[in-house]
Amino acid sequence: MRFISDQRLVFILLAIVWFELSWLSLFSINQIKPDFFFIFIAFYAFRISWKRVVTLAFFVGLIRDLLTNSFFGLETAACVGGALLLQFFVIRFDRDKRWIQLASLFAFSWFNLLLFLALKFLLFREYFHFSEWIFLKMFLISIYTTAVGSFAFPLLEQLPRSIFREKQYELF
Amino acid sequence: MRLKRSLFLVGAVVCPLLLGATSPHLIEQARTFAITLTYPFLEFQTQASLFLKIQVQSVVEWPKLRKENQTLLSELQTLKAELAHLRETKRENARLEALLKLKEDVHQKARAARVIGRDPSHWSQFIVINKGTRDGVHKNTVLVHPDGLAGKVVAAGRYSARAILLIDDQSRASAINQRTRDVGLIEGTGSFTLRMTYLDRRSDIQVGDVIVSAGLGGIYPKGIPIGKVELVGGEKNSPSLYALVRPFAPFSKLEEVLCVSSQTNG
Repeated sequence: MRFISDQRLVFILLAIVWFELSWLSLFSINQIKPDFFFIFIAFYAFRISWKRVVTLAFFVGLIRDLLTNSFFGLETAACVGGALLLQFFVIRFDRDKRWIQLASLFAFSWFNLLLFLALKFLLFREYFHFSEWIFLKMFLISIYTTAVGSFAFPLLEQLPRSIFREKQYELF
Repeated sequence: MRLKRSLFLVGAVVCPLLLGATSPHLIEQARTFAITLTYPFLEFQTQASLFLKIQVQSVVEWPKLRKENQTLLSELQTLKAELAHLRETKRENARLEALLKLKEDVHQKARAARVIGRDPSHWSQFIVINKGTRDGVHKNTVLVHPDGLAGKVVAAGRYSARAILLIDDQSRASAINQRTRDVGLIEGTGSFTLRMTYLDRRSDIQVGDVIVSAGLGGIYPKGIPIGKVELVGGEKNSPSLYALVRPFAPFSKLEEVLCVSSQTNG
């Protein structure tokens, strides 16, 4: 079942890429910036299709890998890992409750960043400086992303029904 | 079905990492291609926002400009008298300027570039500039901000280039203490401070000392200001000291940079 056409998904992803590359610095406070890719992935899992969220996360990760300077594959691995956690939350909890969506977004962001750092540490131990700032930064990015998500989720839900369908129903 | 899913997950994680490890050159080309693709949109948007900024500024400043215009009109009469004298000075100035430009071209070839894109990742610090190989910007072209050293180009497309900032944790540059002449290595930490390592334990480095590039690696020219020492420390069993350096360049709000390279076409 496809709740959103692939062309529309590509268009939305391109719009986020454009936004992340050019406008995100306006939201940056001391290098802490919200992550709109994370918000979109979480929204996709909760409101569009949790079954395809890992695939979406894989492509988002690839795009991020192409646009950043980190070791290629780290972003993809972190995104896929994070999406698995997100999928777990979507299946286990009431996906229509806003606080569950936001708590999951926070956990997803935090886990994604943690996974990225853990993989980076395994691959490039010699370049890695552990500091309190890194952990604080992870926490603050997740908080900021969740805060922006609390505004972005209702806004995304207001998009025309032709773009997003209303709910995911399953028969148990 | 379960096996298929597991295989997909393992493949999704491992394949990109393997690709990154085995074909860094291919990845670099793909990244340059991605930036080249996004360049027209980013450049158009930068120009459009610049135009809008100027328009808004002129509307806001309109009353002030009107008042200024009246003052300027009265000053014009006085200035006309001085004009004749200045004409002679201007001719002389033009000759001197031409000489100076020639001198600059020989010693340091530089191009101004605008920052048109920023890193979407949280853990790496790089920017996209609107100058590429067409403008003489190549790999290892150094980026300088009026306040201090900013970074270097890691990959250049025809119309744009990707550059790593000095604060990225993969950035390294040889540096020297301007006062004591102690040499060390400046490393990015991923945060707003830099770390100067391999400093001699006997060195007299102090808080407030200015650190400049040493020019030893062959990439960064010598003498470009980097930052000011904020903290000096050393581990008990380590033979060297380290210092935390607050960079001069405003990395969070870089808008324009100067590309300095031996390969830059005049």
